[in-house]
Amino acid sequence: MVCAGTACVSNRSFQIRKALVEEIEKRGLQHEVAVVTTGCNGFCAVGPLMVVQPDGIFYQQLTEEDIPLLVEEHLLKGRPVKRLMYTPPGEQLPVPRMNDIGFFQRQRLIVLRNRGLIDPEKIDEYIARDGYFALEKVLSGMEPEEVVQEIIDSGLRGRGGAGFPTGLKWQLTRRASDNGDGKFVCCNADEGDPGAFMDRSVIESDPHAVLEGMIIGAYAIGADQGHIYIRNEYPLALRRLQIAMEQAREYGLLGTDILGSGFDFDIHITRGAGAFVCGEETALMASIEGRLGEPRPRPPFPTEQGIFGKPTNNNNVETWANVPTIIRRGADWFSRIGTETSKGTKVFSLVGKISNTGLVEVPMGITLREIIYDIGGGIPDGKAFKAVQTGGPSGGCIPAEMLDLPVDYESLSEAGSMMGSGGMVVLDEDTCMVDIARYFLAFTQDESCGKCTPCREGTRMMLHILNQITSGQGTMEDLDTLESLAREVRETALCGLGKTAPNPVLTTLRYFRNEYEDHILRKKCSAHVCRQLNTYTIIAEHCTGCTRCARECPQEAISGDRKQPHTIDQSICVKCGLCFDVCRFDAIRIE
Amino acid sequence: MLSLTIDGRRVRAREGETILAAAQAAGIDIPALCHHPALEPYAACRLCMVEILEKGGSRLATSCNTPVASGLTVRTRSPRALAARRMNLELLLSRAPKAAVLQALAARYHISGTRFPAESPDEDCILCGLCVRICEQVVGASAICFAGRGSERHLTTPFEIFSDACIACGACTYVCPTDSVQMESETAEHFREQTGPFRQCRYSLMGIIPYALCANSFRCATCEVDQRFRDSMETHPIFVARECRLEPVSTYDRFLQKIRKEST
Repeated sequence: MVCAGTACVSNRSFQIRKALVEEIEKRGLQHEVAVVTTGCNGFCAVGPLMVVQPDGIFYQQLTEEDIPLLVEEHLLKGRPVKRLMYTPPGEQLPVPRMNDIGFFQRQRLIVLRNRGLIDPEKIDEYIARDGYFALEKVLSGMEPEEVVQEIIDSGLRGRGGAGFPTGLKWQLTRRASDNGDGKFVCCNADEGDPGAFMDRSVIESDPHAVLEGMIIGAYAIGADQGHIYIRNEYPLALRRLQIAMEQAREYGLLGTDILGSGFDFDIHITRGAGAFVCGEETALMASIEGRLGEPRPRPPFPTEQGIFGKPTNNNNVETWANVPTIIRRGADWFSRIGTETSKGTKVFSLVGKISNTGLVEVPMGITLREIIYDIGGGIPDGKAFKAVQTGGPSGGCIPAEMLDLPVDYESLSEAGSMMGSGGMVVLDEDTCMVDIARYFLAFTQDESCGKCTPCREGTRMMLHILNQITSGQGTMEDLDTLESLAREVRETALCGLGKTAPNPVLTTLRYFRNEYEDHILRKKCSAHVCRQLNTYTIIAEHCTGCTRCARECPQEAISGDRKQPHTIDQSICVKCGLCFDVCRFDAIRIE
Repeated sequence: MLSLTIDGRRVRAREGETILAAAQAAGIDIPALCHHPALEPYAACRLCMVEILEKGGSRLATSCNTPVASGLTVRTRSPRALAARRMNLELLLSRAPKAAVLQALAARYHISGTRFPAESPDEDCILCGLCVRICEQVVGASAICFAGRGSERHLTTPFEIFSDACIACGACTYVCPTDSVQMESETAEHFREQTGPFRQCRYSLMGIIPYALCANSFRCATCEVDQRFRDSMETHPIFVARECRLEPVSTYDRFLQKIRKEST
C-alpha cells in the first residue's frame, strides 16, 4: 500500500512505487505480493510512506534506495526493517504497526474510512469495501422523503464552515418549486484556505464516496443534474474525480436509468480559477454560470434560486462523503458519535508548529489538547504551545488556556473562532500574534471581491492599522478604531468572507491584547517577529570579526576591523535582519 | 397587504415588497446608494442597514433586499443600525472623498471627517455599480463593467478598450449618484464615424422609435427628436423604452440563447 496523495507524490512516491514493482519482479514475488497505490494516508509529515499488509507494518520517509533492502528483508525473509519504521519523538523504540501509532490510534474514520486501503482509481476496490451499497439500498427500497428524513435524523451538519443542518437544506431544496425545470445538486470543492487540504485528500483517496453521496442526495432532492466546482490547482484530485466518474458511468451508476431504477442523474465538473471568494456558495454558483465570481445578497437562498435560477443544494466535499455511510449504517448509529449538537466526525488538516503534520479525522467533541498532543505529537523542538488557529484564514486564534475546549460548532464559535472547513494551524512561542492577525488579514484583504463596502474598504483599513502597529507607529487610539472597525465589518459585510475576515483580529485582541499593547506602548515584539521593532546589536564576546555581516549589510551600517568585534550603526540600520541570518557565531542579539 | 412596524409606526406594505420600499412609501428615509427600483437588489453599499427585532434578540439586515413580513418590527435609527451606517459611511468617504452625496450624508449623520486615509483624494466614484447594472439589466448593452478585485476594483469598459457595445443612451450618467460617470466625447465621435445605415439615432437604438438615422451629426443636445422626448418624459428615456419594447436582454443572455439554440 504505497501512499499516492499529493504530499507523498511530491516526495517521489510514484518513483518509489516503480522501484518496488521492479524489485519485486526481480525477486520473482510478483504473484505473491501486490503493490497498491492508495490515496492520502494522512500522516503527511513522514511521507513518502507505505504500509505492508496483512501485518499493517508502517514504513516512512522512504527513498528509492531503501527499496531493495526492504523487499529482501521484509517480503522475502519476513524480517520487518526497523530502520524504516516510525519512532515517536523522544522515544527509543520504533512502533511497527500503523494502528499502534498515536497519530492513528485516536482517530475515528467515517469519511476517510477507505484511506490507505483502496486504489482510488479502481471502482471495484471501492465496491469491495461496501461502496455503492447505500445507493442500491436507496434506489431499491427508499422513498426520497425517507432518505431526507434519515439525513435529518442523523444530525449531520455542513462541513464547509457554517454548520447548517444538511437534512434541513435537502428538505428545503426538495420542497422548492422548480416549475418543471429541474434542480441541481452541487459539490463545493473550492478549498482555498491556506494550509487546508481536507477536501483534496478526501477526493484523492476516495472519490467515489463523494459521487455516491451526490447521487443519493440528488435522488432524495429530486435533482437531475450535479455540479462539482473544484480548484484547478488540484490536478491529482481532478484526475481521480474524472476517472471515478467515467467508471461510474460505465457501471451504470451515473447517467440515465441508474441501476435500472429509472432515475437519471449526471455530474459536470467546473474548474475554479483560484479566487478564494468562489468558495462562497452564491459566488460559486455565479462562477458555474460563467459570470463574475461575486456573492449576491440572500434572500433568495440557493435552495430556492441557485444555479441558473433553479433550486440548488450545495454541500461541501466532506458533507457529501458522509452520506453513503450514514445511509448504509443508519442515522441511529451516526448520531451516537459526537456531541449533543454536533454529530459524527470532522476531518482536520493539522499544520504549523506541530510534530505530526497531516490529515486527521476525529469524533466531534474531542478536545484541542487531544488533537494537538495525542494525535499531533505536540510542538517540535521543545518549544511552548501558544495558540491554535482554527477555521482557516477567517477563523480565530485559541490560546493555551483553552486547550481543553471541546471541538464542536458551538464551542468554537463561543471562543470567537469557527469550525470552518477544518484547517488547524498550530502556533508556538516564536509567533507574534499581531503579526499573525496581520498575515491572515492580508490574505482576506487580497481575496476580497470588492463588492461591498465593509469588506473592500474595511479589510484594507484594518490591514493599514495592523501594519502601523507592527512597524511601531501604532497608537492606543488605533487599537480602539481597529476593534470597532472589526466589529462593524463582521456585522455588516455581505457574505461569509467579509463577515468572518475580522475573526483573527478580534480573537487576538481578546486573548492577546497585551501583545498589541507591547507593540504600541513599549515598541516591543516579544517574539522578535516584527522586525521594525527589533534592535540588532553585536555581542562583542561572540563576534570573531569575520566581516561577513558587514559585507552582507545592504545599508553598510556595520563596521569594524577584520578579526575585531564589529558594531552596528543604529541610525542607518533598516532592521532587515540579514546580519542575524548570516552570522555563524550567534553574535547578533535581537532586542 | 400586510402590516409591520417601522420606527414605532404601523406601516402597510404589499407582499414581496422590500423593507426599504415600505419605509420610503411611509416617508421614512433610509440612505441607499446602490439601490434603484428598476434594478435587482445589489446590497453592496451597506448604508441601508436596519435592525430587525426578533424573538430573543435582533439582527442587522440590508433593507434594500429584505422582504417585509407581517408583524415585523424594524428600527432604522437604533444605535446598532446607526453605528453600522456611520462606519460604512466613513469607509466610503475614505474611498471617494470628493463625492458630494457622501459629504451631504456625512453632515446629516454628524460625521466630521474620516479616520481612514484616502487612497486617492480626488476620487468620487463610490463603486455602487448602478451604471454597470443599468447598462446590463435595463439597456442590455453591458458596455461598462468592473475590473480588479478587492480594493483594486474600478469602473471600466470590458478589457479596458473602447466599448462598441455602447449605444450612447446615457443611462449610466443618469443613475450615477455622484456624477462620476460622464459620457466621453470619444463615444459621440465613434457614432459620427458610422456611415450609411449604421448612423442610427440613439432613440432608435434604445428601441423607443422605429429604425431612424441621425440627421444631426450626433449633437443630441441640439436635436429636435431628443428635445421632444425630453419634454414629454419625466425620466430617462431608457425607462420608457423598457415599457414599450420587448424585455431587454443582456448580451450574456443572448449568448446563452445562442448556445442553447446551437445545442438543440
